[in-house]
Amino acid sequence: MAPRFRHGQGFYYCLIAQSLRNGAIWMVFIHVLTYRGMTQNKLPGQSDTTPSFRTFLSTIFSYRVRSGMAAWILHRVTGLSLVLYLAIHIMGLRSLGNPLAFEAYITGYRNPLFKFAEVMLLGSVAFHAFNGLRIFAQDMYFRSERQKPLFYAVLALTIIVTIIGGLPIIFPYFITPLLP
Amino acid sequence: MSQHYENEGSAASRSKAFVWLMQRVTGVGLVLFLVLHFWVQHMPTGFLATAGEYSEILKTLLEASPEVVDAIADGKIKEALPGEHVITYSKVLERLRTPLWKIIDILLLLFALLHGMLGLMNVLGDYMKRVRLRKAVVFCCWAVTLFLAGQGIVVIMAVGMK
Repeated sequence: MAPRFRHGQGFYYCLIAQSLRNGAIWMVFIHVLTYRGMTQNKLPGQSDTTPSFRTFLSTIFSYRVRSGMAAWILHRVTGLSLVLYLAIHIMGLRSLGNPLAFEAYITGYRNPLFKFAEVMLLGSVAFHAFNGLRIFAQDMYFRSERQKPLFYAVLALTIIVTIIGGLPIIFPYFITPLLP
Repeated sequence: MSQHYENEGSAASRSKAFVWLMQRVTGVGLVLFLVLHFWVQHMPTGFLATAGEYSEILKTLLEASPEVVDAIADGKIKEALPGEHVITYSKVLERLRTPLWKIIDILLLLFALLHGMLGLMNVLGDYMKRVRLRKAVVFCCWAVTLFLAGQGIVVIMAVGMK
């Protein structure tokens, strides 16, 4: 029988819990750090708010991010991260010259943390692809009032594809060890 | 309703229209290529090794070169988990020996690079007003594109050529 926690999954669960906790601590820290610039009941951008990191943050978060803007931002962010990944990927493939180097390279990617990254990569690709097809279809066939339902369709398809494609990736790492 | 732009019909305007078209063509192509790529490289199909096959592969590697002992002891190479499917050198070699897969992978590489770098130049151009800076960035992007394309094509062509 195979040992159940060969790659130390317990450690990675701890890491995730720790990063959640650290995120909460950082949010409180930023709140305290930026408190000085806060003025009450002022619209962002009004002149009598003291310029500070706090007002900068409140301005950023005061934009009502509607579906079109969210689509634009997500398309940009996923696109940039995919270009970065593409460059890393191409440079990594140089190890295809040597079987030993290639197995070591792939073992690096088989780290449980990278399995999460792999699922996020799939999510990015799926969103970028579906949203790109939405933009193309809208340029060609649809009027602009159709863009909201189409964007929600894009989100739904992204989530479905990420879950269906992600399950076989994380199953041997995070679900099989938990099964009796 | 017709709009008139300052640079309508100019070389810059035509080049932008060409980039727009290229992004559509390569984008739709990439959707098809990436579905195939993901199916082959990330899903539990015959293109990957099962846990049993992978430990056989490691055994043959062990017989061929004693360095593998150290690599396994250091954790640089790990056995597969039960139910895991692993991308392995021999399976990739087997696939990339056929010329059709070489052509598909090179096309995927070129489409992805072109789409990615044109998109990157588009994004960077949005945040740069100075013309000389923008030209320098575009030049750097094309240099990186050519370098990565060369690197990728050499690697794909070299697989199984020994």
